[in-house]
Amino acid sequence: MKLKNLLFIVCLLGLVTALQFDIGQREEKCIYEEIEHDSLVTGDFELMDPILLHPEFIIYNPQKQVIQKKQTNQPGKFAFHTDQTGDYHFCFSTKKPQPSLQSGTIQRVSFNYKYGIAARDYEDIAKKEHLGPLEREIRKMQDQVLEIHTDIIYAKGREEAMRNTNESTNSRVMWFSILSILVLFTTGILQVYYLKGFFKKRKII
Amino acid sequence: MNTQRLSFLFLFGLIFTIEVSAISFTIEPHKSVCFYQKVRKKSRIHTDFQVLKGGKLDINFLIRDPRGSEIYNLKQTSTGSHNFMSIKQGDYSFCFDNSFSTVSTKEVNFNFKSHTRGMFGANADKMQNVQEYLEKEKASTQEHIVKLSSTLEKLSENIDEVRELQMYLKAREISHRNTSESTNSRILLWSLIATFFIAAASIAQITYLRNIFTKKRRV
Repeated sequence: MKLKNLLFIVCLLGLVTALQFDIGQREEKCIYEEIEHDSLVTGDFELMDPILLHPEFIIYNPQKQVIQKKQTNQPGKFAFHTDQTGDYHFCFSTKKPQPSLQSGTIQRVSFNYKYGIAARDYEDIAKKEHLGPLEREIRKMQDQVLEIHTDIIYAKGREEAMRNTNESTNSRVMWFSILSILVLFTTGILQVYYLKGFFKKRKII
Repeated sequence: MNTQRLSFLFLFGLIFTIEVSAISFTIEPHKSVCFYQKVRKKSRIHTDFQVLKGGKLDINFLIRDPRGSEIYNLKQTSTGSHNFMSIKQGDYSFCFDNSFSTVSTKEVNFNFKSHTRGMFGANADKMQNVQEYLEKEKASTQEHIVKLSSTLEKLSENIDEVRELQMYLKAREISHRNTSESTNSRILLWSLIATFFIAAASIAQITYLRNIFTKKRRV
């Protein structure tokens, strides 16, 4: 196919830009995302000039256990495979004792990550399956549509779970109201009977 | 030769760069968090945010251009979005401010997307090859290629939009789930407290009346 050699970069879907933010001394700034199980997560971080602090980079899994720890002296990359669905936290921490600097020193950090289809290396896949550039882009789009489809089914399941929670809440409120009316009524009647008996015993009535 | 030129220009027009970020983060009370992004001139920028959890689910949102002047300012809202065309090149700042809150920590989801015409970085070299290749092809094949690429571009953009909407709905679902879980546990807690108080009140009433009539005859 003649088009095989043609490099059509029609779209760079899933390209992620580095987001930058500031971190001060003795604090931990975290970014998190809900990621499905069995996903590849990749990313990189870099300290922007001027380099005043050296925060530690830590990745936590949904159980708050440490998956990876890295020093940020050099611009670094990370990659891992998720084994469960949940919130994964990417944290920069300056809680460890740093060389004493003026209070109020802040360090700008650049960080980005991608997961799922966006993290896959399509150059690699194209080489393995002998796809031309155009075919590679189409293959990428195909995988993305499949991912969207899977996500929609997952979201549907979650919506159902939430609907169940809401309906159970609704019925709990109703039953509690009925129960409390009954309890109050019963307590009132019991009180009246008890007091009547009590006063009769004391020969007041 | 003219059709060749035209199709070149058309091809160039189709090439664009999309940059996307989607993150969630926490803001403590009395604090503010800012995110910075390098943006090129004449980029279509789309940002949106949602407060997922915390207090009254409200936050201040502020966008500044590289010179520091405010582009967009929202006070105490739970969801918001803003699209604009960047005029200057440089670091745009997107700030979330929770300083009006006294005790509640907020969790916020933030999406950023920039859409720039032209190719940058590694892909600019690839463009060179495209140009060389096209020069060798006949006019009819070029037309073919251009039509195909414009269809693929539309397809790509549509998939992109679907993904964007999906991310938004995902954040909404998380926010609603947090609300309903908190409602559920609040109701359970309230039921237990109320039952306890009802029982305690009725016992106290009886005990008090008994005491009045047992110890002293002051009827």
